[in-house]
Amino acid sequence: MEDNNNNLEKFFRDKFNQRVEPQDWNIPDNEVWDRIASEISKDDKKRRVGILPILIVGASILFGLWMGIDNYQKGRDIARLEKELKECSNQSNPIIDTQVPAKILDTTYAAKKSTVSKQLTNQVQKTTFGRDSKIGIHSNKMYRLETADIASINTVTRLEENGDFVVFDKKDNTEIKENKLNTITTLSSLTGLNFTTLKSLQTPEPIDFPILTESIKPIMKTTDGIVFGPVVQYIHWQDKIKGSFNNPLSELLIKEETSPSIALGIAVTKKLGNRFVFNTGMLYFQRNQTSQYAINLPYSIDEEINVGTEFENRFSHSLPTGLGNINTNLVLSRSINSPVTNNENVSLDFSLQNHTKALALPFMLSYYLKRSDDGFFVRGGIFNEFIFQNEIREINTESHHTFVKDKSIAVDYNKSQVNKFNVTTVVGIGYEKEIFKGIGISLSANYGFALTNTFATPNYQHKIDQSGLQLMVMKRMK
Amino acid sequence: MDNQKIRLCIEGNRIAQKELYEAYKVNLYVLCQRYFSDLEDAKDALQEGFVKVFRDLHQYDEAKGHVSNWIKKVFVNTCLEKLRKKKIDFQKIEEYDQGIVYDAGILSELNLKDLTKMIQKLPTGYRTVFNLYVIEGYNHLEIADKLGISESTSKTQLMKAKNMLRIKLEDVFK
Repeated sequence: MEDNNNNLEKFFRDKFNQRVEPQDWNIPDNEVWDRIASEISKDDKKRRVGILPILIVGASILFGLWMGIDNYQKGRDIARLEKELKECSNQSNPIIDTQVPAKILDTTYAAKKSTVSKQLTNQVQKTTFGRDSKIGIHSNKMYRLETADIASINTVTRLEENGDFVVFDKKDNTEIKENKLNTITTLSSLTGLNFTTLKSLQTPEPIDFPILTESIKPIMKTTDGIVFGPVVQYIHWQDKIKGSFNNPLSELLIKEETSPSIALGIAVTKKLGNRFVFNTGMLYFQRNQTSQYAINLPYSIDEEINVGTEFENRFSHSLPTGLGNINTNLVLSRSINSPVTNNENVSLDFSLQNHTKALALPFMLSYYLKRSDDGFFVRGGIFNEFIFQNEIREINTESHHTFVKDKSIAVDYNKSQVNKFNVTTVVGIGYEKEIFKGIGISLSANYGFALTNTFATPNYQHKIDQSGLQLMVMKRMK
Repeated sequence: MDNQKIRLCIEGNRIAQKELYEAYKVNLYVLCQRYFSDLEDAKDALQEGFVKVFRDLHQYDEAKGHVSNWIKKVFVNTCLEKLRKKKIDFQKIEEYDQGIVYDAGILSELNLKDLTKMIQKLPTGYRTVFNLYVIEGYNHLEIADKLGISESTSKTQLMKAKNMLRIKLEDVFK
């Protein structure tokens, strides 16, 4: 009984655990593979785009949080300023007679246009916005208050060599008429002044505090802080090839091109002076280089191998791509009964894609024609590219012969032949504008000259230049 | 299937994936047919199994054995998962018929197709336990754990399965 059991079990075990010969009943339909290929393509796509929404959502949350905190802090600052202004109005201040000469206030209306020395301007700011003011408004805060307000109506305050205080229109550099200067002069003289006295002295009409506080606008341009924000860049790649690739099959390569990329990331800028800004950040992008080949192969009946109901011819090649050689093993199969003449030429359109994932770390210096973080700028620097993944994929083979029943190509590829670190020098022009409280956008056009080769042999150098458009949204950090 | 091909499959190389499919499709289709009496279910299991294989191939550890064993395990689990959705019917044991005794010579006259059909005709519960125990080599404790049944149920299902197979074999040799 036990033997009988063991016999049966052993028999079934042995029968089903050996290699099964293909027969009609145990070969799945071709459509099964089609369905599998379709399913795994969907998975691949999900995997590929999977990280992008996470990055976007993560960046949005961080950006939202940061904006919220920043606006909250600004609100607190404004409230504190309002409180201080109210305190100003409720107390008399002896400083008006000592720290701010009446001359400056008086001559504000009578100023003339001329060259102003920086030294004098600084001096008058210190004097006007008195650090030692009893009202307690520090020069920093007053500076913001004053410049913010002046900037909001497009004016520039200057001190003449003769000590006169002048307000100019920034647009056409003309002096602003007396009757338009109420708010400005009042604000300029706020520091350490008795406000009641000031109003009676400086303004034809009384100015209420709500008017003053409304004119306080925090402006990114006036802050020497760090600015950062999301950046998106369209990059068009241009392959630059020198020399010739030492591969006997180079003539098979009929076309090679690198398709454009979209780079996403975070940009950080730091103001270095009145006109200079340092830009850096981190960008992620993918780059695809497609190589197309026209291959002609003789299908040899003498060398074909019998595999079940089919014959096979196998071919091995080392094909050139702009990023190095790849080894291919091609299998062409035909049905036993399909008609073919010996050494009949088989033409194949073969293409493959070299897929690269990279992080970029740019270091750029921008020069603004007018002032930092505002208006047109020119830019230059380097674009460091770190390739962290490189693979051959999207392989396609098309045959134009009816006797070819099936074909497959396995690709072997030495990933290390592609340079993992590339440097490009970049120049560009752009325009920057504040669009909303402390938030600005910058649009620039760049061109990059590759300094390093993505792939090189003694007789062959392959570089990839870049040109592109960059859009950046920026937020000033406190 | 060498390690380089496996790496290419993991990287999503469609040619290498097709090669892997071609290399294993026959054996795995037979495996699926052993678990499902309906051919469409077997095809679905084959498709699902390969999708899982390509999706999870990066988890394969070559130190733990040949890739074919890993793939087979994936397929067995896929079949069990599909069967679980269909609710495996574990039939009660009524009587145990010892049947006739066969020697290896007689059995070897049967081909794989006939044997597969015989297994397919078993009730789902018998068939599943028989496949897991006799062909896949799991013990009753492992089967009980996989199917969520008791060890004794697994044993009795196996006995019944073998008994039914004996009867079917008897019919063949009559």
